[in-house]
Amino acid sequence: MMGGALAPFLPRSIAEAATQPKRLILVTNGQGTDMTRWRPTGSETDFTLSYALAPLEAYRDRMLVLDGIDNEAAIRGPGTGHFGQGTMWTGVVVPPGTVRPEEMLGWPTAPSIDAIIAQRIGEQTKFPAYYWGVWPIATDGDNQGPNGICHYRGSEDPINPQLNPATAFDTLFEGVMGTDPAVAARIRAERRSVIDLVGGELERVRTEMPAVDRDRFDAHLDSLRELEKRISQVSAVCEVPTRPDDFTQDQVRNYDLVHVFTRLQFELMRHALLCDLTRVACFDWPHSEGYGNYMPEEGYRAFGSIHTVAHTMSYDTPELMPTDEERAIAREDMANLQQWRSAMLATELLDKLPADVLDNTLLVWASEMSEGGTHSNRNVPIVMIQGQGFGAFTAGRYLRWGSYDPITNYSEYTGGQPMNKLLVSICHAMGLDDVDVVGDATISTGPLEELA
Amino acid sequence: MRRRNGIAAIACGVWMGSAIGCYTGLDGRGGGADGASEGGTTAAGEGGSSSGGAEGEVAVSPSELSRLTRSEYQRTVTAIFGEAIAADVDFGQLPADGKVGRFTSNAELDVNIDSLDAYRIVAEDVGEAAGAQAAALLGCDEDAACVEGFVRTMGRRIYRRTLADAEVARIVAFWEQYRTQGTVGDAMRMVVTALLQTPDFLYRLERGADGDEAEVRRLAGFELASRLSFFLWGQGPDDALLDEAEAGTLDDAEGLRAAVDRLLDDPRADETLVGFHLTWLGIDALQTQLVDAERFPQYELLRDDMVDETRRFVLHVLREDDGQLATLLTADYSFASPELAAFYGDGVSSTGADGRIELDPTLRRGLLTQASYLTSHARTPERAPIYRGKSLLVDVFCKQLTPPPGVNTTIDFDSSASARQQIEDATSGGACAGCHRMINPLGFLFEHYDGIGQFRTEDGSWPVVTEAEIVGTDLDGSYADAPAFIERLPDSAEVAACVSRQWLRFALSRPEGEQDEGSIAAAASQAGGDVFELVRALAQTDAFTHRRLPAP
Repeated sequence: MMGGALAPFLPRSIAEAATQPKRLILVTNGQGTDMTRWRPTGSETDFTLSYALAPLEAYRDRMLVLDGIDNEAAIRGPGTGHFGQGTMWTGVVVPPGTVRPEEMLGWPTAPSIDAIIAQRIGEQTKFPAYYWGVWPIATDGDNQGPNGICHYRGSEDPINPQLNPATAFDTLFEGVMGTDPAVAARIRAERRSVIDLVGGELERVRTEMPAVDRDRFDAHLDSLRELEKRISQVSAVCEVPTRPDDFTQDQVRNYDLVHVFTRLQFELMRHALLCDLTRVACFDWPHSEGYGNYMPEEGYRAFGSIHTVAHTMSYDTPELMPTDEERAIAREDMANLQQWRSAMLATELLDKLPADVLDNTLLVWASEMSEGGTHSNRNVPIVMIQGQGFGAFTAGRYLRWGSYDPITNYSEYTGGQPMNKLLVSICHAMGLDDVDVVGDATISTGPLEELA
Repeated sequence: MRRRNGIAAIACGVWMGSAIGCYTGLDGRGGGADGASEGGTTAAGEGGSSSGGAEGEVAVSPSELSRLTRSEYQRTVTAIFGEAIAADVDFGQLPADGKVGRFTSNAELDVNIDSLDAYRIVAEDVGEAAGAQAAALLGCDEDAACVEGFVRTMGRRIYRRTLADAEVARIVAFWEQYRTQGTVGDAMRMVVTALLQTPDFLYRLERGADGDEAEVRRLAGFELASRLSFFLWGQGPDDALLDEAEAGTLDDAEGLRAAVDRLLDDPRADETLVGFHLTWLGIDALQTQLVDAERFPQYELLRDDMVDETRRFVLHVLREDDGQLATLLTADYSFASPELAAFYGDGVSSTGADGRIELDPTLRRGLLTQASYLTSHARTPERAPIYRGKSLLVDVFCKQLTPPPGVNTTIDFDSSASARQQIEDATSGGACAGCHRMINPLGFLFEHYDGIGQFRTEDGSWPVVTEAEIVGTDLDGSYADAPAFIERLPDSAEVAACVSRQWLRFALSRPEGEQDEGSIAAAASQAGGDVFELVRALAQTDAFTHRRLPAP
């Protein structure tokens, strides 16, 4: 595997270092995994990590492996499993609408927890939350919808992750000390003067247009003021990473560069956390599309379309009818993919975060379905890693609910816990103690008590 | 983000339909049976009453302001600044689009800080590239008159209207601010970066020409020019259209018609003509369809050829042949790569040098039997009849189906019977039957085409049965197969009205409302099955030339 080019430790020289803020990292992957190779073995407190999670061994004592969380809003909603991305972090059923004309579905009508949390703690950082992604992800035209977009600022307000590391760099680190201060100051002044001009035009248009159109421009002006604030803010002293190369649209949207872009985005995420540019960091791996052509460079067997592999995993898709051998290969490929993701999280993200930041960070990694073949939104694979000083949950545990079985018993309710409870627990962990409901209150209220 | 009136009304209509059966028939929409909504509709040639008639006579449903879509933004910037500058810009950064039905539209989506940040990033990209070409863009020796002239010309293209002197002065001052402290390139970079973030560029501002009190307003000339140009070219107006708007030419039916003709005749309309059909029939999403590569190994090689076929066919019918809807639906020819022609097999009776293929019309004819369409609505071969039937009903007949009620919609197909039989068994009872009695037969007609549209006579070990009894349309009756049914489509008033409806949605970037029904019907009846006449007629309707303000 590729080694990190960066120094493993970067000093953080903020005066408040002693009282580190809490940070949240949400990581999402689509299509689940091979659950038989994901599940740990052993008891709640004495367990062995599975093939898929083995690269995270160093974090086992800080880990909570959750085996039995149902993406309940997806189960209750339409779309036979396909819209779990839109429900997993929001906890609401995807409503009717025109965004997905085939299914007559719209956008989720509630914010995802990253946005809920960012709204409460985000004031203190330049970016209340930041979203990274790797192509192929549902940001473009017809690909997008509640089947692809995981994060929502509010009702019907999808958030597109930033796919281009160079753009993410420019957005995040502009104005951060460490770039040439004179250049940074000039760019800031230029952007402010553009915003002044645009703001003046908006004020004019707002008064010229009919009154019913004005709320449209009020919203625009509000956002412009937020943008001005963001641009004007000079962040604390921290080390700015090397700017990634410029990439063409084609490169950013190249199926075969997932491994390259994953590393670049994790590097930016680390520095964004380190520099305290954001305390809510979200990362989306490709969802249901793409190919495994890059896997040999990572030491694994190549595979074809992820979508097809995911469907081939089980016998549940009658039109595919894989042979036993095909199914076995597909399951291995999905497990390999998850093991690679574990390795990326360990080596490119967690290992390289300085201890004081890592200790105050909660990472939650989930998928919208358990196995792509069954499209079951039950028992979605979730791993949480809690920093030593985070103190919200009792870590070093493997928790199971229900009697889900990926082969024989994957769609019926077997005693799992709704994702909504976990979402409440995450809010509590981030200091939003008054939150009792996330998403649809008829699904559940209150936290997942067993985590405490 | 708040849900806006138009969408809310539609969604409500869909759901309320469930109380009374499968769908809300469009003729029953909004109690329109009394014909009230048609009362004030004007259309081309009706004595010009569409210009400046009394407010009460104009029928048009409310519309929100449109913000440019990604494609409109990219095409407009490319038209203004040229291919060379556009090539340096990553337009993929632009914020995501919303949709109205199948059609892309941002009328329902507000901006937020991240979409503004995205606009900023792209505008800075364009500005950077324009700055590097400052001298060429300026096109004259840099002096006060040259700069002012440039600002007037460029500002007019970006704002899609002539700038007031005070506006010109503001932009010139902005230019000078950066010229004083930098190069001409800096001044160009900053001006372009700023102008592309203004509301005049990002929104299609429709204030109307009828004063501040009117609820229904005829669009002012420049606003109508923008509607026309975004409709027919997918980009902002060119200088000539802006000139016509300024001269008032678009304010009467004749001038408007001449402008529509000029835009339609221009190759810049090709992409719209093709794009409408691809989007209307859901073919533009073919790239994201799940097709089982192991079961259909040819698919990956044929996919682009399939879309190419439809593009070439549509363009040929509209540009070279008679431009009739009937021809689009029933033509006994098409265009295919040698591989795709071979894939069609017996359906192709001969192949010409330019890729033109002659079809055996008893096996295959028109758009709806092209592999692109058949694959786009197959999902899997077993489920294809449901998706194809639904597309026929919703896209071609404009029936409004209710979403499946909260029941398990999975069908566990096995080899115990034909897919057709299993679909009938699974959907003939209870809550399913209301819609599926209409959906299934339409889909069964297409059972001769497998999951990627190849002709077949067997479904696994079962013989294919295509004969079906169609209900719920104005072509009800028994048909032997899809070609036999398709042959009748040109006779359907429902199909003609539906195509008019789809074009209107596309033209207005918004869902239609009950007060648009007159415009839809009038355009359909004037078109007489001619696609260009339909477009011309739509451009003259109240719905196109007016804006009703949304309720506060």
